Amino acid sequence: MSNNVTLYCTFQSAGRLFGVPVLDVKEVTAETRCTRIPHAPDEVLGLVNIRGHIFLALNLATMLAVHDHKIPADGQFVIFKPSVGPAFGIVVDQIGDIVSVSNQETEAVSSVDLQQSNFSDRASLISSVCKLDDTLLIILDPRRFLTCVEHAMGGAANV
Amino acid sequence: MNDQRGEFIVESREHLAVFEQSLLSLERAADGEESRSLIQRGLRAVHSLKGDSGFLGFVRIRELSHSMESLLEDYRDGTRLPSSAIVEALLSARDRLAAMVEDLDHSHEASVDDVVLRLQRLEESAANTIPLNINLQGWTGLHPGTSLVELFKKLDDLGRIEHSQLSSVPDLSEFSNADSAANCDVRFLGTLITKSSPETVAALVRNAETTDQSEGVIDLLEWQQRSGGSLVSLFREISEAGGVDGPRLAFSPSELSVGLPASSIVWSGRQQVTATVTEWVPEMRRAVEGLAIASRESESVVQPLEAHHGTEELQGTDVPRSPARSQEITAEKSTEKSPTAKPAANAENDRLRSLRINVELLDRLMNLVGELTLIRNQTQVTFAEQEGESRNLIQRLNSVTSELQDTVLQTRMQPVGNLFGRFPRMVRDLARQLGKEVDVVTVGQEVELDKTVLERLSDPLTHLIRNSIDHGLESPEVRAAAGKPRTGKIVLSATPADGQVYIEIRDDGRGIDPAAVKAKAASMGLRTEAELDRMSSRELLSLILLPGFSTAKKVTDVSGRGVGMDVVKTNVEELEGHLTIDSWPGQGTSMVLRVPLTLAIVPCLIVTVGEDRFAVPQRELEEIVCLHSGGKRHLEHAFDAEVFRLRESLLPVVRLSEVLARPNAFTATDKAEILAKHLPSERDPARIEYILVLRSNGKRFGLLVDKVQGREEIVVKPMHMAMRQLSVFSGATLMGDGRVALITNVEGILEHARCYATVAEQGSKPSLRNPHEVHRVLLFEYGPHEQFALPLVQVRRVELLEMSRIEQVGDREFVTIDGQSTRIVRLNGVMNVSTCDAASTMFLILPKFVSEPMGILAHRIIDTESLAIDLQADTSQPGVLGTAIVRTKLTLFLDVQQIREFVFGKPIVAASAVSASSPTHSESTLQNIETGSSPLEVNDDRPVQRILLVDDTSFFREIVKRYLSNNKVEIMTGVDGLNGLEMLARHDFDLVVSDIEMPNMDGWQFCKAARDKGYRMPFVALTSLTKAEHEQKAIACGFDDYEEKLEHDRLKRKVQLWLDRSFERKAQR
Repeated sequence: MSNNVTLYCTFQSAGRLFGVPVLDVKEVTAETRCTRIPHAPDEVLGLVNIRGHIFLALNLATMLAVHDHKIPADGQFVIFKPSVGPAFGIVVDQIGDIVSVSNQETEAVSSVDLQQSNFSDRASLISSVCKLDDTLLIILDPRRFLTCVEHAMGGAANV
Repeated sequence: MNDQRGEFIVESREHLAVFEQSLLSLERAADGEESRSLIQRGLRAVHSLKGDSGFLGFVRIRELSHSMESLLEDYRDGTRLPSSAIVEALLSARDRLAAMVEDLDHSHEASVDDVVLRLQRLEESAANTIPLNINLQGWTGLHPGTSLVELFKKLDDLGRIEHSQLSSVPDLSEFSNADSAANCDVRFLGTLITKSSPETVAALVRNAETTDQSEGVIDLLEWQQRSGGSLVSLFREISEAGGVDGPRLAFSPSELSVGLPASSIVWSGRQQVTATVTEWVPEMRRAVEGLAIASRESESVVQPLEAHHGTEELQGTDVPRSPARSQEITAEKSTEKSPTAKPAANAENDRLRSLRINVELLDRLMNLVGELTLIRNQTQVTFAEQEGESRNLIQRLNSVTSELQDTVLQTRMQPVGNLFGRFPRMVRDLARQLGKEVDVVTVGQEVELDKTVLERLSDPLTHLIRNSIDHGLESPEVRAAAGKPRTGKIVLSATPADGQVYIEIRDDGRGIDPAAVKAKAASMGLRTEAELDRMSSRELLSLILLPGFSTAKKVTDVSGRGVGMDVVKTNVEELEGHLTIDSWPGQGTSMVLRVPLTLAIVPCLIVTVGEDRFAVPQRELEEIVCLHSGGKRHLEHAFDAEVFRLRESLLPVVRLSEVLARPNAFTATDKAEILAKHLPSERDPARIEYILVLRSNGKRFGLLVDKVQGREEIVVKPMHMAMRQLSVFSGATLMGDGRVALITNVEGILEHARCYATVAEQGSKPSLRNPHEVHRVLLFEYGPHEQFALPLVQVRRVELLEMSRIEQVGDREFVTIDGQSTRIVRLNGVMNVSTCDAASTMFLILPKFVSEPMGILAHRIIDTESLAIDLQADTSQPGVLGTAIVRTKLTLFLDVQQIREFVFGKPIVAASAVSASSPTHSESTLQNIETGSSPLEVNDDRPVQRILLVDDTSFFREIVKRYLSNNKVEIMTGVDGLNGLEMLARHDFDLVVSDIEMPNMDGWQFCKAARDKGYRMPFVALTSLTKAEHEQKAIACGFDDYEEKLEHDRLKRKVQLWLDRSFERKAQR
């Protein structure tokens, strides 16, 4: 494996394929029983107990401005490492493979016309797009997630 | 290595604490046995420290602790106590050590020379030092036939002799021959350091010494030549030898500039006054420097020399103390209740059985136990169906798990003594610094608190104690003058009660003067004067917790900057604790901190709302009310909120479901929506709900939930960082089934619901209520059908009346109240209302502001109620101001003045009542007032006059308006000063009647502004502030007159008077 290849953990959400750097992921679990947090923004699904520790679960679809998406019962909870942010993860529809992508295959997001996409206001979550053989892999930056949620909360408080 | 260092730091801290504590307790040790054990404990501590640091290579720490040890070593046997100077030096050395331990990496760089030197000097003089100054000639004379050798042998037997020298000895060879020295005055000077008791030595020395002290004369040059030693050591020795007065150097100062004179320099005691003592020292230093002694040496040696001249510090530390010093010792005497020493000694034994554990490890252990509990719960569910063997197993698993959880929790608990232990030292130092005498008594050190709570209590407690010493306790002189013991007392106590710990700091100092607090608060503009006037003394005292507040006249190093108490309050609130202050001027202050035992485990009530489960901390819970919608007790609507009648008091109720459903704090619209949604008529009779009666910050309210599941001790986990903004939750916890539940924050809910619990809440902040809308009334019943209301401001008091006390005079009824024959008013006699059934006791409402004593009879007092008055004017009935719906019942608002008129006829105003009014009245106006009867009904051909009435309370506007208006007077109203100014600009008025306390712009400002704008019509202030100074202020602001609210008769007359004047003035123009 050469130096300019990165491994991505991929997953499906709202019919698209996403990926995050595999080194950012702590674990993937099927435990998605959430306790709803009233007053929290829509992006927040709630709190999940993983072996005695409480994690904040975010709804990836909502984060990406897909609002009427329903997460299937067998959704998966992707938990990030503490280096990414404190005790949180995203709930996705289905977990995919781990793919290795060489850096040449990715394209920075600025060259993609985001105005045309659904994700315009959450563009900062997407770090790049990768052209796989059959589909596009959207690579996310998990470090931006919590900031995004906090913005949403601040917005809610100001209404 | 790192582990070792960490451990070293932790252990060193402990050693240092033990060391400090032993020294402090030593000052008050009861007997030799106790002091011996204390000294040995201190020695062990510092010895271990020395050993550890030596092993790990922290040389400076080792060096310093070695000096400390060797200084203390001399007292090991406990027969003698170290002097206060030594304790002082040891304590400051301890502080230096502590600083080095905390900064291990730089401990090598730190210089400890100064401290070590200080300790060494003390050590030298610490033994029984006896300055020797023996006139040898005299001695031989006293003991004929004995040789001097015997004397020296005796001295040598007693101890070590240092700095020995002979003075004025022409030749040492002559020394052995006593006779040859007989003609000159030979003195032996030196310091005798001995381990034996001072008495035996003193005997010898007394024998040795002759009473007369003659001058010692030393030719420095000669001395130096003979001994070869440096002059510095000579002088040091001389000064340490003591007994020499007025030392002088004899030489010509001018010669110094060109170097040392070739001639001899003669040092003499008490001879040839060429320089004063103060001049002598610098001269001496110059001389020393002239002798080319290395400058470093001269610094270190000359300086102590300087000091010794002034204070004799190095000598006689154990031998008789000067009066000044013994005073100092009492001043620094800070005591601690004696039990401390004994448990401490026991602690020594306990330590052998204890083990140091990393806190992180404990936290992990705690988490694991939590998980184990979850597994236990799941197992219980899984095997619930099975019988036999497995059931037993599960029960055992259950009990072991619970016990395990308890035990792990206990590991976090620490005795309060750990925290209290550090205060005696602090108090001692502070007391010294401030020149006060303070005793500290600690009570309840064994009470245990969670480690985190204990740690976070440290700062607030420190601050409160500092405050007590600095502001609370007086100086000994002041105390003595006030007839109190010179030594002030601070009692620090911890008491556990209802799952919390009360920590009290009580002093017997001067107390806090509420009047001073009030004056200060007023001058700082923290509260308006009117608000302050209404505050109780406890409320006033709580003002000192506001930022920027300090009543101390001067700011000291210790406190008085006015930042502290605010910080204390914040700290305590973070701990979910509470601080109350009580004070008795001249007698002392008590500050009580209430804190939870632990933050980690909180007993909670688990409730559900819809599908969701929440934990409500039980700390704030008072009781639970089960609410059957079909039952008799139900929620009612009052103003903008739902309320519940809880034993005759009204409880505002907040629906948790609504709070959760609305992410933003409630607005008026939200409140209206909620009320509309839960109409009393649309209740589902089968529904059962629960009201948790909670108290938060002194406010009581009800939280409505769907179901109460039970009580549980939950492990609090902090809220996720990103969710901290949510004020209604304070954290999260794991439930038995493995799901997460949120912990509600009662304070936050109250805030979110904008529920201010104004109902039945004395002294609620006036700024919180809406002054335009709310008014307090007394609700009562007379007959069975009607409900009556009387504004509380019009009620003087309510009396319970035995009906047998009523006396009949014709068809009138009287009762004697306060020595006055009081007319009883039965409402059915005044207006068309139902009569009251006979009862043995009834209530008598005594109204304010009536010229004749009267009381209104009531069958039942319902409550007081804060209301938005939406009064329907009702003139069909006499004595009724209007009607409104209160608590779903039609309520008649009484008009006391009309009732009075109905009962007594037209008013007769006593002259005295009026003469109490404004001094600005001339005699003629007084006449006018007294003679005028119902002047508003005058029927001259005047045009209609216009009055501007400014008052923020719609209810008053209504009442006053009704009183003043007639066919000749038109009344317009304004709601506050600003509004009043607008009205003035728009219309012409003949008279302005204004309230004083109003929002936006008060009456003072309003009148001033109006006068500034050139409005010249008369202004009458109408207010409930009745003090003379307020009246003066009113006049100063430009009011022409001043009248109390609800003094309707007088107001009427005054208004007429001013209208007349205004008319006359217009007519003249």
